[in-house]
Amino acid sequence: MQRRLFSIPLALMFFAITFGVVYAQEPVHAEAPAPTAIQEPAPSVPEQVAAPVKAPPFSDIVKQLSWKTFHTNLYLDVARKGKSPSRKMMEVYLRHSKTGQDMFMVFKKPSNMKGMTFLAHNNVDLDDDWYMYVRTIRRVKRVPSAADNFMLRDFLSLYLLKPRLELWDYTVDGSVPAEDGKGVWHKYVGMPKTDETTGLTGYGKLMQYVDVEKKVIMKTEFYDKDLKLIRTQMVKKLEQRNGSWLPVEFFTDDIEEGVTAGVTLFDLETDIEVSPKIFTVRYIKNM
Amino acid sequence: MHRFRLIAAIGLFLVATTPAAAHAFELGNILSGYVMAFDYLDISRPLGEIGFAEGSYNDKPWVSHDRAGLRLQLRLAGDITNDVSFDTSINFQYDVAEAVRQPTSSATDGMSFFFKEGFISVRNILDYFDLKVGRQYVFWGKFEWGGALDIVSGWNYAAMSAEKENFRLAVDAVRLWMNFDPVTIELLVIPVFTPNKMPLELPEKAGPSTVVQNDAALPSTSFVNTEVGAKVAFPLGSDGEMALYYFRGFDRTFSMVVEGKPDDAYIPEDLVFTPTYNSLQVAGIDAEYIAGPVMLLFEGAYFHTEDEDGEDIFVKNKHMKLATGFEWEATSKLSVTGLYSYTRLLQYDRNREWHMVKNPGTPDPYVARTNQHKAMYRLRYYPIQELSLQLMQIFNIPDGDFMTLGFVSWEIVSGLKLYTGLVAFRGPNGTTFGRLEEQSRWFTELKYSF
Repeated sequence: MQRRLFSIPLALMFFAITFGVVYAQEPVHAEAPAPTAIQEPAPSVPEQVAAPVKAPPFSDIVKQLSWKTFHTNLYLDVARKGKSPSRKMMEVYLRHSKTGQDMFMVFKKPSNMKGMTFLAHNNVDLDDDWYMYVRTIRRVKRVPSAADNFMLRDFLSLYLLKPRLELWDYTVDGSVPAEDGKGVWHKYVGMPKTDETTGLTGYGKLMQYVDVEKKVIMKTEFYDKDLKLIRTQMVKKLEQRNGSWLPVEFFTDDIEEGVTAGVTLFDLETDIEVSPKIFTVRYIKNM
Repeated sequence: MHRFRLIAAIGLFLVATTPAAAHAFELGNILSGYVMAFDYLDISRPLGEIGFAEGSYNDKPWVSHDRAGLRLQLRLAGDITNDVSFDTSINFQYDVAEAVRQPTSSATDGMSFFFKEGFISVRNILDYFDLKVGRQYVFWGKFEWGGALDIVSGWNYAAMSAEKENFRLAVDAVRLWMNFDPVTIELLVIPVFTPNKMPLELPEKAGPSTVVQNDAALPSTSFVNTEVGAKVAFPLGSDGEMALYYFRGFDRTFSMVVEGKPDDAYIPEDLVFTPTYNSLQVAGIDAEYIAGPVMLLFEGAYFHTEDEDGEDIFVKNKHMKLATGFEWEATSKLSVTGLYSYTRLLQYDRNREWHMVKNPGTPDPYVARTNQHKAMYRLRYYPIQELSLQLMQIFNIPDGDFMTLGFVSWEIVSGLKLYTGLVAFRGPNGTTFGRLEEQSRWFTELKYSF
């Protein structure tokens, strides 16, 4: 009798484990292929060419991103070089207002990160506020606005936010052939407006490569305060929503950390109704 | 009864996970969890032999498996509507060590399930109110460790390890937040008391007397014993926030009531020990302020206990506790936390208490100091993305007792994580961590999250 009582729950536990694993498989999504080894774009040194079209001011690039609200799910496939990537799934809401840009981001997978939430108020006056709900400790923590914070480095620069003109002064620095061989990219050099920019972002210079026709950033180089190249990002796929060209697949190479990441957006919507309550500490406290 | 609950829980789970239910509730999106193999080695004897521990544990094996087995945690979490969500976690565990601990133990003794957490959350009621009902963690105060106001969710001191949910206890509570921007008022009601889990092993004899240990005297689940609390939080300038607290409930840590205490004329045959949970009221304040990469933290609280005149040796004295410290993101790979706390017992005569507690079995008993100083630090280092190292130590400065928690976590492949490290206690007999020396463990957990 004892033995039977023992074996039944054990068998049920085995069944439950198997069942749990099977049911927890990520849904196959047409726009989100399973992670594979991340293919780093072949490095190339673009030749300087004459620009066929006069480069618009960089503010036009920002205006092209005309959305007021933005919602997407995304897969983030992070890999140390030579290793297979680990996949994370997140849901992101963005809101653009006169005071700045707000971002709400919550991890959906893997389960050990599920519920971890990040809230950023990026204000035009640079008085940014960042909060994190850390589920493992069931607390909302204010995030110090230090450039070394991993959230800032890994997420805010993933092409989700619009370029922050309050941080950078952009000037045109010629043009180069597009890396996909189609057309020309304008080069814009972004220099910090003040020391606060480097303090907030950790970068001393940005180099933006902009598709002339679509007025969209296709590649970004990030330089540290000693102007050493530490990171690159490259758009692999664009989609047009409500007149705006938006990157929906992009790849980042953190040279300094030896880490690469591929980002794939899916279920992307823009200019939908988003409750302003999402962008509050109150909301993430009650996740 | 225990067996019935276990089978009932598994049955409920199986019903919930039938294909029909899975389809109806989109289970793939709401079900997650982990499977974990774990082994906790009792290392108190080797620590004693190398001189780390103050006690000698030669009666124990060199190293023994305190706990070893497999745990499955299933978590169901999702949104019912935009403003209503739920979150439930249940642990199923098989502990091989428990199943063979006693000659009379059977395999079923190793089986257990635990309703870890489970609540329903309702947001934006009449625009101003949020509600959370059910078993949940309530972490008050600003510090993760050692603060003055972390008085609600209890601790399981026998399960210290890498992850907080292993050793913190959720409470069955109703929480209501009233949001009057920028002020938030939180009301807390806890109808059922949840004490700390603390190992307690008394000697068989105390001097000439036989030791008798009674079951713990828990507060009854009557209406008058319902614990209540309130918190009012508001901004402190643009870079900080502050909160005021009030709590009326019970101390999570027991006081030991001893009856049959001998005096000069009479030595009792039995000494009866009864762990007793006493009521208390707490009023407190906390604050945090961001200064560049550093977060400055402060907590202060006054604890009003049942010992009105300070003369009851079986009840903690009234006391106040102050804690100050920082959290510093030194680099993207290193974070440092530091804390200093000061506790002062009020209306307390240590000499008198010593004389009152002293008996033939314990001729030199440990009694708490009037002024207590504690220091804590924690280092977290992430050399690469998959690897992290953490080291934390808490020192009770005048008593010389301390605890160490150090471990490595390594994500071997996506979803599979290995934790290994030690939790070690050291201190003179009777001190906070000295009492826990036998709970020193080397732990290893291999966890697959799905």
